[in-house]
Amino acid sequence: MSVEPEVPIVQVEEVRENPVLYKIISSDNHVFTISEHAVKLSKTLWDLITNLGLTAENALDNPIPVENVNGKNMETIVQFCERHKYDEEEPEYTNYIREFVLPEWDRQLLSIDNEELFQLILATNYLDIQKLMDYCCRVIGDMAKDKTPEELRIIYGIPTDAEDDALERSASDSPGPSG
Amino acid sequence: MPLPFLKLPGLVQVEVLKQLELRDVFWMSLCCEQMKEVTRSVDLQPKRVHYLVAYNRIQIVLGFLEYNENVHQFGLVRRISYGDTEDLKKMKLGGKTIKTRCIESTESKNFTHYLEYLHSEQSVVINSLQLHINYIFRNEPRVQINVYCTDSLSLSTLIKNAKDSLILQRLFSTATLEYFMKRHPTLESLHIKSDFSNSNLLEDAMLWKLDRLVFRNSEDMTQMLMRKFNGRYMILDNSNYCKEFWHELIRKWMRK
Repeated sequence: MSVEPEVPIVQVEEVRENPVLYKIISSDNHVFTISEHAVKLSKTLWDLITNLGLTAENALDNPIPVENVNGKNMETIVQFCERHKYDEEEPEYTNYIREFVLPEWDRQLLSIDNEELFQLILATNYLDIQKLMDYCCRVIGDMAKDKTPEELRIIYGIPTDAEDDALERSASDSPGPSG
Repeated sequence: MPLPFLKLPGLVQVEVLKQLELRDVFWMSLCCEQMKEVTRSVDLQPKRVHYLVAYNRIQIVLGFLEYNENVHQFGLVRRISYGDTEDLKKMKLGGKTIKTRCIESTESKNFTHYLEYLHSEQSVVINSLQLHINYIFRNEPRVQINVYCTDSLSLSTLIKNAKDSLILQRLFSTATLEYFMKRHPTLESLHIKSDFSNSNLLEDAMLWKLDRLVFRNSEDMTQMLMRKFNGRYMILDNSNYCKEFWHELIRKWMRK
């Protein structure tokens, strides 16, 4: 499938100071450029780049197709990675509650509706971007603050045990593919 | 549209729970059996679960360090004996179906809600609550009971397998203490922050068999405590002792 002629190249953030650029193509054929430092935040993409043997010389001639992520999510992801490319590494944390402040810029970036947030998390999970995952999880977690189980069930679409049992029963009662 | 939490990848569900305040984790774990399993997968490993027992309520707090006062609020349950109970709904807790409701808390500064239960179901509810908590924390944290008043004694006896205890009530009688200890045979340590109304403890009192004992305001009881205690660690505060007590104690150690 040829994609280059029809779609604009999206310059999400400046990438001038870093000479090594990569091209990524989303599932709906949008092309993004991303700097080397930024792309390293995605373990999946960086592994792919390393395995493909892309270098500063051939990177822009070999766009990387990412079938599982659409243009809208990829735009958010590229913005995020460019913003955080020079961040220091997070310290290891113990097994109980993580305490960090979600920066305002990131809170704004992630102020999207639940459907979009859900899709963004799936994309982030696929691309293995730990920091963005942490921030998305914080946004989802904030929805649970001071809520009762009943409210949580509504916010997160969690069925009660009785509803779950009923669903299971109806699934087992319905005829299978063979009739 | 709700955010379909249970449709997120398992690792993401766990990450979300790690971002929550522990008291919100408690409420999440009560949503349904599936959420209980997700909460268990978070693999939180508190070292201690404290049950703070007052007259009609139990507050649950978690300690993640071995000896540290810094604890995290987890859950709050309250008994109701009268009033409108029509809005109570059935929920599963520790494998049992019980009737509960969540009510906004006006008294607690640490919790926004209580989980309320019927007095008639108290025994089942507290037992189920402990089973639920034991299930979530698979590392088997130590159980500590803090008792604030003699009125809370009977409620405290529903908590099982307590290893440590803190008694804060003033004028705790010897008989009450013996009753408490008989109902908690697994106790290894006791911290008494109250004044005894009666210091006439028997020679074979269970208190002397504990491993650790902390006594506040031991004052005139100091000699008796030093003579009778058979455990390993004892801390006496506001004590009245003289050299003779120490001689006696050292002789006892040497005989051991």
